[in-house]
Order: sequence, then structure tokens, then C-alpha cells
Amino acid sequence: MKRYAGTIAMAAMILTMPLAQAADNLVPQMQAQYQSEGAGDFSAERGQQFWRQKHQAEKEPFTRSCESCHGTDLRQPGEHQRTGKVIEAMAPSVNAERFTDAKKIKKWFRRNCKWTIGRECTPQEKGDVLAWLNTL
Amino acid sequence: MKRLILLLTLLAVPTSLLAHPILGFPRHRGVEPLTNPLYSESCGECHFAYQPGLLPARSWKKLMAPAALEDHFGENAELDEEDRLAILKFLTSNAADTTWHYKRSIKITRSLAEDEAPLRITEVPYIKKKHSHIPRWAVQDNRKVRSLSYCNRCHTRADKGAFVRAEVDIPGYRNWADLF
Amino acid sequence: MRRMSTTEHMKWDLFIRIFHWSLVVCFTAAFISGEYDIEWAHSWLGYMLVLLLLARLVWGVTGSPNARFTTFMYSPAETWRYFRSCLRNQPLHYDSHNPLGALMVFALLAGLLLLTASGLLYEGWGEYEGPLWVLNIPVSDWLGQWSRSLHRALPDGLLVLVVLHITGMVVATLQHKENFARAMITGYTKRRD
Ligand code: HEC
Ligand code: HEC
Ligand code: HEC
Repeated sequence: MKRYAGTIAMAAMILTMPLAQAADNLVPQMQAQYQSEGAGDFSAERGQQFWRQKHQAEKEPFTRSCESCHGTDLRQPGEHQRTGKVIEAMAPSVNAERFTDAKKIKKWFRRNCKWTIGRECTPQEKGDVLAWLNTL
Repeated sequence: MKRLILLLTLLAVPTSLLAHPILGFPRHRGVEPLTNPLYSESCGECHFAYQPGLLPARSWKKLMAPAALEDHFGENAELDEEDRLAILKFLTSNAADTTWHYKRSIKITRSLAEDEAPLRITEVPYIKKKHSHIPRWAVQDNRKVRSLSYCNRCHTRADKGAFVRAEVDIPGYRNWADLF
Repeated sequence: MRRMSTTEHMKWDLFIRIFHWSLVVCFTAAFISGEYDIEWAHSWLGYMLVLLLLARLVWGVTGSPNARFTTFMYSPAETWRYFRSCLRNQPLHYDSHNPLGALMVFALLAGLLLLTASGLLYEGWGEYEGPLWVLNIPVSDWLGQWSRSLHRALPDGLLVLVVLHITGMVVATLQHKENFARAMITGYTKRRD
């Protein structure tokens, strides 16, 4: 038995690894960071409004919003407006991988805010959006 | 017995030449499959992650310049500097002009003049010629394809680096093989 | 020895027989490898076809009398006369190809020449491989596209010709009471005087 103990321990470690790694939802952490950058209290309602707000793009006849790519039902996958590639559902209740990687959140806020509203989002706006998305 | 050995030696010479990395035939038909998770994640969100073997290093360098990423065919594909450099290194060290083993990469390299650095795979002469006879309605006007840029919508094993005729399936155009 | 037999004479020389059966093998193999996209085999079979065809062109000028193109080039009037003789089931006799067989031979040769030429052009233009690419011979886009179309359309056309060729051979065997298949293997056929 002793001979196998090491192997068993290894196997157990490998098996439980995904569990140990099942990443945490980072929304509270991100919000704390946004507050340290000057944001006040966060409101899911304001977040929802911001999400649905339509913006006139410079050159195009159509408007842009966060829904352009993520769709109107965030429990369903969206579709990238230009390339048509499927974007997994945004709601953390459906897609547990959402908001688990700080770098990814940062990267996509930067890109998507610039694309949609033509500037980076403020810490307040980001915190509001996350507050709303996290309720889904 | 002696003759047998002689025969085997005679056979071994051409065989080893065939397997030779430079003189021999390319050992793989496609382009090298992806192995870099950072790349697949960072460049695979809006379209399928193109294998580095689809463009020469000089093209990847142009495409990965910070300003170029900010206006990436009209989209914003900005990366933080650390990721950008890591991805650039991965792309240039596995680019089409660095391999002798992958046939499609070799043909892509051959079809370009040495100072040509297209920003699009779909502007590489080899790739352009291969698709020049596919009608518009099957590509640009096909809602399920949209553009030749999205290789994986027709090449069913594009994510494995395989681009062969036998594995093409154009959505809504099953009989494309009747194309002349 | 049978070769000395006075009732038989040489119809097809050794070159023609080897050429004929090599052509059968190479064309069939090239057809199959093309259909299944076995690219390396397909190009090498194509090169062999080119060499076979070139050799046949030379032999058609320098070879034995029965093999020379001039021997079996007939006027339309003569071809028509032969055709009517077949309809009456009393076919006229020819030592080399009969006029209808000759038409088929020229059609097959022309088809195969176009097929291999378009294959070489497409290979150089679109695949960046093969003799044209190695020799750095530029091929225009227009010619390249046409070669691709031609190279994909011709094999089916040639297959139809092959079926007609075999049918014609069987009909002629019955009408002439001469074993054409054997002549293409041994070279000998019954002497008629
Ligand atoms: C042009 C298309 C597009 C638009 C418009 C868009 N997004 Fe995104 N968004 C994406 C893509 C693509 C991803 C990454 C895909 C994935 O993770 O599945 C993403 C990811 C995100 C993420 C990261 C999610 C995570 O898993 O960490 C956030 C946050 C986000 N988007 C917020 C927004 C906000 C806020 C807006 C509106 C200002 C917006 N997006 C508009 C395409 C878009
Ligand atoms: C924000 C979305 C987005 C991201 C992220 C993105 N791309 Fe793109 N990419 C696009 C769009 C849109 C096109 C243009 C497609 C078209 O013209 O139909 C494109 C086109 C390309 C093309 C040219 C394809 C062709 O037409 O031959 C290459 C190469 C490319 N991207 C590489 C990359 C690389 C490398 C990365 C990672 C640094 C990346 N992309 C990240 C959206 C994106
Ligand atoms: C509209 C569907 C479609 C898209 C999108 C597409 N292809 Fe193709 N591709 C085809 C078809 C069809 C063929 C076969 C054409 C033929 O030989 O008649 C082909 C052939 C090829 C070949 C040659 C394969 C062979 O066996 O000779 C290569 C290489 C290739 N494609 C690469 C690409 C790359 C790289 C992309 C993305 C930049 C791409 N394709 C996008 C449909 C597509």
C-alpha cells in the first residue's frame, strides 16, 4: 500500500486541482479597486442603463451599444457584430468563467468602451456595469 | 546477404533524403497547429486564432505594432505591452517563413516577394488564387460566412491547422466541389 | 516459332504497346489520385504522362509505318466511306488504325495534351510547385484560372472518350473478326492478303 501512497496522493491532487482552481468571481475586488480610483457607491440600475444606452457612431448609419455584440439576453450567447463569432453568455449564473480574470476584465473594458462610446469608461461606469451584470 | 545489405543501403539514401528537413518533402500538409494559450486567448475572441504559419514574420510585425492593434481592421485589439511582446515573439518565431515542414506555409512564403508584407492572409497570392473562383454569394453575401477571413467557417479543421479541399464545407453550399 | 508464322504479321511495334498500356495505368492512377487529392502521386503521374505523350509524338514521326501519324490521317470523304461500310457490316480493312479509330486516337492524344498542359500551368500558377515554378516561368492569372477550369473539366470528358474507345474496339473486333485486344498485347495479328 505504501508503495502506492505517493501515486494516490498525486492522483488526488490532480483530481482536485480544477476544484481548487475554480476561480472566484472578482467583481467585489474590482469594485473596491474602482472605488480607490475615485468611484462612489455602485448601482445595478445605472449599470443597466449604461449597458443599454445607444451611441451614434461617427461614420456609420447605425448606433452602437454594449448589446451590439453581447445581445439583449445576457443569459444567451451573443454574436460579434462585425465578425459574427459567437461570444459566450455574459451572465455569471450561466457562464461561471465570467469576471474571474482581472486582466481580461481590464482589457475588454478598455477595448469595448472605446469601440462603443468612443472613450474609456470611468471607474464609476465600470463598477455600475459589473454590479448589474453580477445580478444576472 | 551482402547483396541484401547493399540493396538496403541503396534504399536508405533516397529515403533519408526524402525525410531531410530542407531537401525532402514537407512532412505535414497543413500549417503548424497552435500551442500557445496566451495567443489563442488574446487573438481568438473576435475570430478564430490564425496560426502563425499563415503569414510571414514581416507581416506579423506590422500587424502587431501598437498603433496597428488600436485600429485593427476597424476594431480595437489593444494589448498590454507584456502580452503584445510575448505574442509578437510567438508569431514571428513560428511564422510561415520559418518552417520547412508545413506545406501550406511553404507555399504562402513562395507566393510572396521578399519585400511584400500583406496585413491580410486573404491577400497572400496563394490564398487569393485558391479562392478566386468561389462566388460572392457563397462568401461575402453568405450570412454564415461573411468574409473569406473566417477560415474556420468553411475549413472544418482549420483550428487544427488543416486546410485541405477534402475537409471544406461551405455553409449553405454543399456542392461547392462542382466549382470549376 | 510463332513469330515466324506466315499467317500472322506485326501490327503494333513494341513502343506502341508499352506506350498504350503505360498510358492506361498512368491515366487511371492519375484520375484516382486526383479524385482523392493525393497530391504528390498526382503530380508525378502527370509528369510521366507528359513524357509518354512527348515520346509518342516523336514516334509518330519516326516510328514504324503503322505507328506514324501520316499513315492514319484520312480525308473526311474516306472516313465517311469507312463509316458507311461499317453500317453495312462489311467494314473496309486497314493495316493501321481505321479512320474512326484514328479519329479517336487523335481526340485522346489532343485531350491528354490539353489535360497535362493545363495541369502543369495550374501547378505553377496556383500551387507554387512543379517544373514551371522551378523554372520561374510566369503564368498570368487569366491563364491560371483557365487552366484550373480546364484541368477539372477534362478528366470526365476523357473518361467518356475512353468508354467510347473501348466500345468501338469491341464493335470492330466483332465486325472485322480480328482480335484487336490481343494485337495490342502481343503486337501480332492475322495476316490478310
Ligand atoms: C464589438 C463587439 C463588442 C461590443 C460592442 C461590446 N463587447 Fe464586451 N466583449 C466582446 C468580446 C469579443 C469579449 C470577449 C469574448 C469572451 O470573453 O467570450 C467581450 C468581453 C467583455 C467583458 C469581459 C468579460 C469577462 O469574462 O471578463 C466585459 C466586462 C465586457 N465585454 C463589457 C462590455 C461593455 C461594458 C460593453 C459596452 C460598453 C461591451 N462589452 C460591448 C465584444 C464586445
Ligand atoms: C476586437 C476584435 C479582434 C481582436 C481581439 C483581434 N482581431 Fe484580428 N480581426 C478582427 C476583424 C474585425 C478583422 C477583419 C475581418 C474582415 O475583414 O472581415 C480581423 C482581421 C485579422 C487578420 C486578417 C484576416 C484576413 O482577412 O486575412 C489577421 C491576420 C488578424 N486579424 C490577426 C489578429 C491577431 C494576431 C490578433 C491578436 C493580437 C487579433 N487579430 C485580434 C477583429 C479582431
Ligand atoms: C467560403 C468558404 C471558405 C473560407 C472562408 C476559406 N476557404 Fe479556403 N477553401 C475553400 C474552398 C471551397 C477551397 C477549395 C477550392 C478549390 O480547390 O476549388 C479552399 C481551399 C483552400 C486551400 C487549398 C487547399 C487544397 O487542398 O489545395 C487553402 C490552403 C485554404 N483554402 C486556406 C484558407 C485560409 C487560410 C482561409 C482563411 C484566411 C480560408 N481558406 C478561408 C473555402 C473557403
